Amino acid sequence: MKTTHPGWRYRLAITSRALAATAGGYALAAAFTAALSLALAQAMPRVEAVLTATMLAWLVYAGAAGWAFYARTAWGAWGGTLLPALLLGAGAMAPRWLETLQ
Amino acid sequence: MTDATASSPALRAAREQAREGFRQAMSWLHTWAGLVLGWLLFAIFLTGTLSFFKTELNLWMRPELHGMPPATADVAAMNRKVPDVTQWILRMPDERQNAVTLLWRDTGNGRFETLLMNPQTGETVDARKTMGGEFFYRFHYELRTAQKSRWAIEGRWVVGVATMLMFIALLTGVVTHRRIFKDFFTFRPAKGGQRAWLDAHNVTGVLVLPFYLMITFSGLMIFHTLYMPSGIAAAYQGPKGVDSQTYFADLQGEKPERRVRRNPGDKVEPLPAAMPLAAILEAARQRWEGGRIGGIQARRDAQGTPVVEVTRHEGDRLQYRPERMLFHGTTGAVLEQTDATTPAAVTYGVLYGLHLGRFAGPGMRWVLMGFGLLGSLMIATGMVLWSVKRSAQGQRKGSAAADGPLRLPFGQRLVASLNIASLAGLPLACAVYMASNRLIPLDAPERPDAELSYFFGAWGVALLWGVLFPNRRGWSLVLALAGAAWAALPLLNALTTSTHLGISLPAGDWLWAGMDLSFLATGALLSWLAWRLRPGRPLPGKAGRKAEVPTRAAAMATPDALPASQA
Repeated sequence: MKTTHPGWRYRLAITSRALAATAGGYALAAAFTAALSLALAQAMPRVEAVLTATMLAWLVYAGAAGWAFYARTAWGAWGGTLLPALLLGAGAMAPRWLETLQ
Repeated sequence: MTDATASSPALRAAREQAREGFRQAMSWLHTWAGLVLGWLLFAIFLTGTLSFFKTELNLWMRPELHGMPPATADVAAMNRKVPDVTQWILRMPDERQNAVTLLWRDTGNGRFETLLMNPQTGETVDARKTMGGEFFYRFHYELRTAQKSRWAIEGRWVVGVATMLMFIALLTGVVTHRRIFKDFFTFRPAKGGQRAWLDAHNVTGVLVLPFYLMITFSGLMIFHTLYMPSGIAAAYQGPKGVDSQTYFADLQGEKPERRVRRNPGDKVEPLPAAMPLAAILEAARQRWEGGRIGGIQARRDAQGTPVVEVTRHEGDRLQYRPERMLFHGTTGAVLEQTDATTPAAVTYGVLYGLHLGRFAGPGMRWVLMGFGLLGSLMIATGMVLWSVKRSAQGQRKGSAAADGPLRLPFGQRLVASLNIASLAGLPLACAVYMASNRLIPLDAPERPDAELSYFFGAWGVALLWGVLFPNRRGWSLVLALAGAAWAALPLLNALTTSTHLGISLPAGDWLWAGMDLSFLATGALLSWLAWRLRPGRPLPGKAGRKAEVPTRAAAMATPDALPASQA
């Protein structure tokens, strides 16, 4: 990640990764919280499920931010945060989608 | 089998390389996550640290409260002050706050008026209008800029972003350190320059790392309903959208149906004139055998029933909020006990309590203050380290063509200016704010905001000075002003009040004397720093010994002398 002469390509790459870390990371953390809250709520009171998931979410966010700067390519940085975010988000939305189908 | 893979040198080298690559990426992230909002983080950390002594600062900035008698009168007598109110909250005096604080309103959902009362007679104490220590507290989590701020939510978001960056910087900082234990015992101030700053950053960073992790993580959790509401949105989905009221109730162990949501214009019937407060307090005392009562509140619940809520003292346990008991406002019958008791809710409550530090006695509060100051130092040394490192790199590159004076690149100049404005300017602004408390006429209009304008004015001057002189001249002047301002506080106190050291010391009034003495010590420390950094003083360490002619860039590299002098 270190070059002596930061050209515009380098700056663009850093901007893209920083966006992946902040926005992609937040999307992943938020989707994770929603999905895990729903899943845990099956086994414990709702408030417990939400708190447990939210406490873990910050670690997920930090991990995603780390990944965004460690991934080999900028595509990897985005894919590694947004793809699982979409999957988890779909998981969290699934019960509501199923409800509207019925 | 593991033998075959482990002994293959190529594989081992590849694994080593991957680990090194990871470490480098995390090191890079550590640097930038810390730097981007570092100046704001420092401000949040320092004002948050001051907030551990919020109550004492509140007191110092309201000298009229000095010398209140110990509480004896029963609180029921206090209640008579406020007819026709719809809600009141009464805070009991304790060893930190000697007056009775009464908040009340006669609207459904309007602002509370504040009344300070003598705890024996119930007389109103006419204290000066000020935000007091409350300002530092409000600034540290919502960047409050006026007593009635319009930007509180936006401020909380900005603080949230800074907190998340801090959390990332802490975690990546741990990853970056291969020898976290060894670094802890490594401090080479004699080497001077970059090495000393790195060591200082490592020592302050590692020393109370668990505290930093706790304070940052709990900071994120305290506002999780704002920052990360997706879990609530998923699990509390009701027929009419997200039922966040029920979540809030669950979080506190309350019954959701007791929570009231009113609009500003809603009419609410005043509370009944007579409430059996004495009997209610007696019942609460019996229930919490040996526990203290922190506050009493009277209001009408969603059904219009008058209820009296008694809250246990916050110093009685780690978990926040304290236990509460609800009584019927006219019959005095116990309605329910309110407390969060499930595992995750208790964990959350303990995190909350640790962050606020209200559980702490005087000794523990000083320890927390020390941790907070170490954290501020960690942020400060990290930011200076960035500057020092950059200018050293620039110097090496520029030495080939060092004919003309070297001009700092924009980024470095910006960081150097912001460092002066924040690291030296904020202590100045805090002292000027407290000095203005003694200097602004008592009948000045909008007095609390006038005090705040001194705070932000002083900070602005420091920023301007830092932009004009991003070098030792900038550092030493702002630090000298800050030192003078802090040292002047006890003096101003002596000139304007009767709570000064000449009275408080002989009387053994350590609460008041302790404040003035702490201000003096802060002033002395800052003045000493300013003296060490005065322009023209030779740089210590290697650079000085080799008698290199320092280039302009090196002179701008900010205070090299600081850690060296701590040896």
